[in-house]
Amino acid sequence: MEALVYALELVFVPEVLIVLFLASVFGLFIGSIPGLTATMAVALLVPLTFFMDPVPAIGAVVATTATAIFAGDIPGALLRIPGTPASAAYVEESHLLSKKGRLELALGSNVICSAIGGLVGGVVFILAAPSLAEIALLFSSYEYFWLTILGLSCAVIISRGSQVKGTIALVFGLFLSTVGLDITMGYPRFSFGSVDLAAGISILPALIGSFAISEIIRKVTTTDLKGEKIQQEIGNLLSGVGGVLWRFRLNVLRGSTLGTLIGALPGAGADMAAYISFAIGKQYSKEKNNYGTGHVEALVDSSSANNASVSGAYVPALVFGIPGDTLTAIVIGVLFMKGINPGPTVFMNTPEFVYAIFIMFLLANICLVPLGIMAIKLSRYVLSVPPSLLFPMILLTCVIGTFAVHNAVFDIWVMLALGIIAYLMEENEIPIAPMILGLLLGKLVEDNFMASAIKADGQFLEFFSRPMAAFLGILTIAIWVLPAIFKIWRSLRQ
Amino acid sequence: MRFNDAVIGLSLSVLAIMVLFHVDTFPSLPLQDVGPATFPRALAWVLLICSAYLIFNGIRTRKSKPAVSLGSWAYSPRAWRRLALVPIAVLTYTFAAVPIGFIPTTMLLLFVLVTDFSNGRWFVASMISAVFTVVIYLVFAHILLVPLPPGLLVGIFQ
Repeated sequence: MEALVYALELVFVPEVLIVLFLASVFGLFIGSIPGLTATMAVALLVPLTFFMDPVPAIGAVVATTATAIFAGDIPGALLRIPGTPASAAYVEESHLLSKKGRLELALGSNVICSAIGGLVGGVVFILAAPSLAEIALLFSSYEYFWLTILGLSCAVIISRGSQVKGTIALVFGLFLSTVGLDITMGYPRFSFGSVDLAAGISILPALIGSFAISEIIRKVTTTDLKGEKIQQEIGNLLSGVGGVLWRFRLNVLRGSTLGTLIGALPGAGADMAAYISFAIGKQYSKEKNNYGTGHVEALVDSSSANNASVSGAYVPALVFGIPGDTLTAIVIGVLFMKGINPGPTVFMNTPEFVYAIFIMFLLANICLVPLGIMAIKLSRYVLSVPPSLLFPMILLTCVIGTFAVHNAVFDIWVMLALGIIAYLMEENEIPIAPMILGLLLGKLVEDNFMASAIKADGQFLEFFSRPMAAFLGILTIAIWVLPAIFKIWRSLRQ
Repeated sequence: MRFNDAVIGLSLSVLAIMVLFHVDTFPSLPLQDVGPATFPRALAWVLLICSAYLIFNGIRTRKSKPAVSLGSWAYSPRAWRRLALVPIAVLTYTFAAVPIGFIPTTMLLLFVLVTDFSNGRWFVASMISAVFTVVIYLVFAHILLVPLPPGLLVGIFQ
């Protein structure tokens, strides 16, 4: 209780509230511009958070993501272009609904469902996280090693496309994390005499490069960089939404719960939460035939799921230090920068910090309703801003932000190099998320692996000597081996 | 810019082999089989196995997938120019920001980029570059209290 009061004192100060407001406006702006993702919005924020205290820094990320994920729905309904990948699942349905003259209902339902989804996710986070943290306190290096490998494996298996390419991305990220002084002997690896390389590859320029620079490269080559013209008038957004919510109350609940659970899976982000909820919603719908004609039920399920997943992703991120998606990967990067090591000890030593995050989640999602409505009303102007003006500003923000953090030119080179690599990876269907997770968690994996290997003294079976470690180890091996066995089994039977 | 899987696999296998040779020069812990080389070596082996699969897959699909295929944008000189401007702008900032200063470098780079991307709208570009530079300067120097390189304007902007 004391911690909760302290958390309230941490959040309800003008500095944090102003940051939350500005970050929400920023998130709404970036999210509603097609092609600019929520991850990019957060990556752009990272240099700024470097100079803030931990609570406003995380608050800025929380508010930006919650609002950017919703804002992706706006161009979806208006132009049939999802603002962020998280809105892609239901963009068709949403646009068809607006073509039927129900634009207000589509966007009104989106904003309210997004807020409810985010709130449900936040509540699940605060209920589940502390008890999971108590379990996590019992973990030794064996359990942590397996858990991290399990998390990274999920990130590869869940990623779309070829699993071999996902593995390559992950291994490449882990490899990048080995650059610099090694954990056991302090030996400078792959530094080739450079002091900068001996210090290792910082996560900040890597994030900005992979999520912002790569996107800029893609957009400047493929789009005509012109703004969009919106003709539609936007009326009262909340009329009829209450009825829709009541009629599809179970869908809201299902979408929110499912979204939270999917968000908690490492590697599965808001886009996957939306796709899966859309599919399940359609499967169990009483009006299945209305899907594909502009059916509001489809929006209810998936727009609550994508916002819920954002909150769900914080559970493994804060409890185990394993991010649920690329957004929480950035959060973990920010926490590391602040000298906070995410893990169960955060819950024991600084519970007020966890409560503060929870309170900011609630605040961000409640404020999403009025701010979201305002963003929809202003969308005509926001969407008319041509990307030819935006991309140069984003590019320079990346460069200035990256340089300002350590005043290091080396960081800018890392940013540019990883931007080009990430662009080439995406072009060739190699997912970026496993690479970032690998880079972020590489040190943790190696640290726990080396500690366990030295303890085990060459006996690999020691890695399975504790019950929880054995369970996690077998589970990890199973998720890699079982699909292959099933595949061989199926081909033998045919 | 898409490559045939074999090209990607080949490049990665070269990387993995180079890593395997290089880590052999690392020291190991006294009386232990493990050391600084263990983890990167394990990663290089996984990379090598995955690369072998990509090479095999690439050879199998070589008829439908050429070694390198550029997107349709590659036929537009404007797209190439924009593409080149991105790294040029980044590298220019790294070399010019400290000697010339944050304000002139940012203003000039933004002016050039916006003018080119918006097909010559130089007036808009000059307005945007001025406003953006001042706003970023104020945010960093006065709100976040981060010093930005003053360069030639030392003494005027601190």
